[in-house]
Amino acid sequence: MLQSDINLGFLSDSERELILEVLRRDEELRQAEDQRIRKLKTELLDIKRRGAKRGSGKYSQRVCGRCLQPLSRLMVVSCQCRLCHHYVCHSCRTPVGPKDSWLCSVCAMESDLKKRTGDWFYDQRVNRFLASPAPDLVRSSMKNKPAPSEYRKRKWVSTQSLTYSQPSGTCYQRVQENNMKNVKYVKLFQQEIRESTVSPEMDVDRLFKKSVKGTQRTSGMCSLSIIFTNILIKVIPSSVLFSEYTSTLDLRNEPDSPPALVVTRSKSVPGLDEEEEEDEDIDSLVSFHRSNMASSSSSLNSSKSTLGSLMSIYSEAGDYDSVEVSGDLVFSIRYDEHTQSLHVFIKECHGLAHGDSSRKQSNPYVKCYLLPEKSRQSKRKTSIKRHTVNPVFNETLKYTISRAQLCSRSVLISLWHHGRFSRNVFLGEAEIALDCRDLDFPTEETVILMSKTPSSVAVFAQYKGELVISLKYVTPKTQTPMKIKEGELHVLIKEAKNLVAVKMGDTADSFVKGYLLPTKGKSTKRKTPVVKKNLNPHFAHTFVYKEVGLEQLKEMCLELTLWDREAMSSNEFLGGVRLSSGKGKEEVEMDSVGEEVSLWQKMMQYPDSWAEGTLPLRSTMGKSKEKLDLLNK
Amino acid sequence: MSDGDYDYLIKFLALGDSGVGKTSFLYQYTDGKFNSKFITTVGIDFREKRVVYKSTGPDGSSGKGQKIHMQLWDTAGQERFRSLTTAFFRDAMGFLLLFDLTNEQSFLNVRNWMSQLQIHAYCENPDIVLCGNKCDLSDQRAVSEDEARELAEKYGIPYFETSAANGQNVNQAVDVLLDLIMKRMERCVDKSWIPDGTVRANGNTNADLSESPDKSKCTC
Ligand SMILES: Nc1nc2c(ncn2[C@@H]2O[C@H](COP(=O)(O)OP(=O)(O)OP(=O)(O)O)[C@@H](O)[C@H]2O)c(=O)[nH]1
Ligand SMILES: [Mg+2]
Ligand SMILES: [Zn+2]
Ligand SMILES: [Zn+2]
Repeated sequence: MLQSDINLGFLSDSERELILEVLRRDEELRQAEDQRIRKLKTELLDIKRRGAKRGSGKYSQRVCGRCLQPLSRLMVVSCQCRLCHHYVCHSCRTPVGPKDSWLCSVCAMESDLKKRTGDWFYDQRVNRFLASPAPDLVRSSMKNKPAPSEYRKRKWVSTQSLTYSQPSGTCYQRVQENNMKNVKYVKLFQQEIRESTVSPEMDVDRLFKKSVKGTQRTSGMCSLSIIFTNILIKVIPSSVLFSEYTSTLDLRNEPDSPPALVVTRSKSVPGLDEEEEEDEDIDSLVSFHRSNMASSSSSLNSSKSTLGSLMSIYSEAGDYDSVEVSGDLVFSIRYDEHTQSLHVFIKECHGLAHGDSSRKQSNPYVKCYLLPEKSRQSKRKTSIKRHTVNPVFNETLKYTISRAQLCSRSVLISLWHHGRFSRNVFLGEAEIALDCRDLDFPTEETVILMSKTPSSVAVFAQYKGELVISLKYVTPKTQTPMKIKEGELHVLIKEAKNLVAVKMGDTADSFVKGYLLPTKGKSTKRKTPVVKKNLNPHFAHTFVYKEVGLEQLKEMCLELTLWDREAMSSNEFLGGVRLSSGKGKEEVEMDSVGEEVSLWQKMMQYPDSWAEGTLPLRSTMGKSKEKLDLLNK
Repeated sequence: MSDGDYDYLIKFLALGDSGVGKTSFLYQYTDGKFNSKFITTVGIDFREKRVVYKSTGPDGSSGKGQKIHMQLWDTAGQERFRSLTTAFFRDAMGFLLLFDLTNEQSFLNVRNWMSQLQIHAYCENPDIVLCGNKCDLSDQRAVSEDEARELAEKYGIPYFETSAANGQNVNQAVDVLLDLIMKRMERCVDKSWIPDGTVRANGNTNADLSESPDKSKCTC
């Protein structure tokens, strides 16, 4: 059963109001629940990580699979966990269920978690309903059938159309939480803002005052006040960014940052002849923009430069190659009181590695994050320098932030090779803590660039949510002697759960992308449609790979990655899985672990039946160190 | 209320004809109160309650208490809200199906509600408790206890005669439903211990369980 809207046209305005209020209460409950679940799963991950043997396969049976203490010889017979098959010592067992049955500590916790998180229920439900939870459905149904009603008229911001990704403005807002009541109304307010299209010409100040007033009026709450700064205005002139919060009503329009960055970048970024991935995204973006610009007063020209400047390449968490890191970076960091902003001055680099090893060259650029935030809001980039391993940037990357907030932060500066026709290549990075720096009298500094080492542990270190999929290998119907072993691989992308939002507003417009590697000529790229505004998206979409043999699949790897669709910039990586037998030729990355391996094997073991699994999402698809070393040899 | 300090979030849903007393039943359960004025429910609503659940093992031993946060969905019985209310069936783990002991038609409609559940619930045979409500109005009774029990037995579900007015059997009915859910949860997790428990769609590994796979599900 696929998601379909419910006809709710019969509801009167007041009924609609009542129902929406119930859904709002439910949303509160669900958010608390999400947090609880996230916490539980993080705890489990923590314990899992300590179990050194999970999934690795090669270890001696003489050591406990959980705590790595030696096992006595006698025990080996009866000390296998019936779930993960690890040999575990007495203290790493947890009694479960009736009689003397037990599981190893990790498996026991996992099954306990299945209960506590309600996954036992959702796992079953997904077999029947691939549709979203009812409240979402109802809400969307109400939105799609907007009867001319009081509800609409009462909107505080004029609503010409209801759109999800605002073409001309992206509204964000972060409000510190005073009490639950506030939050509730803030949410309401947020929703109103999100739902309204902010046209570029609209007087931002007026719009905002209106909204705040409206919020106050309905809620009787007086402490909601927001400063909005237009950090984003640097790149999207017409956008509004609501951020931060103070205790007084303070509406302040910050002066625009110097546009230097935009100009240089849009010049140096070639634009539409980038990689395939970008091509698509940019194409749709351009057409999107065009249609939009036609109806607004902005010129197509300006939107083009916006495009260029916003176009970031792959999020580094997702998809990149890496080389032996070398060289250093010269920079300085200072805090500017007047603009309440942190200035990261990127001067130059020396002796960078070759991003393109065959042509012995690099097109380096700098990407910068103000940690711990690793979101788009925190990302800054310099222009790309061509054909040099000693680039001179002389660019300043700025963050609007209060001084008080700085002490717990650090700046992560990474260098990347911009590959025109290939993936981007990581060239090195440096993290600079801000707590004990003199930001008033900055001095130029040189740091050695470091490599990052995503190991299979680090890959799962952060809880990113889960992906529920089913795999089926379909054996060929008629066994023609020519293609006797060529069947089909069906990959049903059911849903993702508990995604971690990368943008403010705590939501995502996600889709899944799949590759079957190594590719044999024809493209194996598949994509699901985008599911909007949902951290638990239901995709119910099947990728079919034709003409693959079972034998081949043993050597192949299925990479599924989740992305947050962004109309105004590149898509943001949300997490991924890598399914394979875990061992194979070196040409493909096969560092699959745990469930990623077992599900793949189950699929091969039982052709023509669905193998379903819930896989934890990796926080990065980066190659593990050892594999990299092998590749470089 | 929803501060996240609990072990399980359990979602129940009450259904049945308009006026049988769903709202009253849930109000009695969560607040111990009763209101004789009839205010029909508009579409959908829910109430919440915290309870402590002590599981009873097969040997009669009771385990340690688990903190349960209950979300009790209240649906409108009126026909015109049907498409809305049935959409909420899928999110519930267990169901309280009510009819009015003083209204025969509401009892006859139980069959229809059962088939609605089969279509819209998360699986084909979810946990349900049947409640014949308003048992305090004995002089107006229109459905005998025997015929009600017989019907419940036919479906293989527990039956209670309840009164939202005086609270009779209200807690008991919900407790039994909770117990059913907690047991089912154990079974589900148990099943997933079977190494190949995740191989689905051929139905062999989970034949013992309710969720026989939906054959109509399009997978192409
Ligand atoms: N005497 C008596 N009256 C009851 C009992 N339960 C409900 N009532 C009354 O029956 C009427 C209907 O009760 P509700 O709980 O509003 O009915 P409902 O099932 O929620 O109805 P809808 O919301 O329209 O679906 C009210 O006037 C209640 O006071 C009961 O156990 N005994
Ligand atoms: Mg009611
Ligand atoms: Zn041990
Ligand atoms: Zn185990």
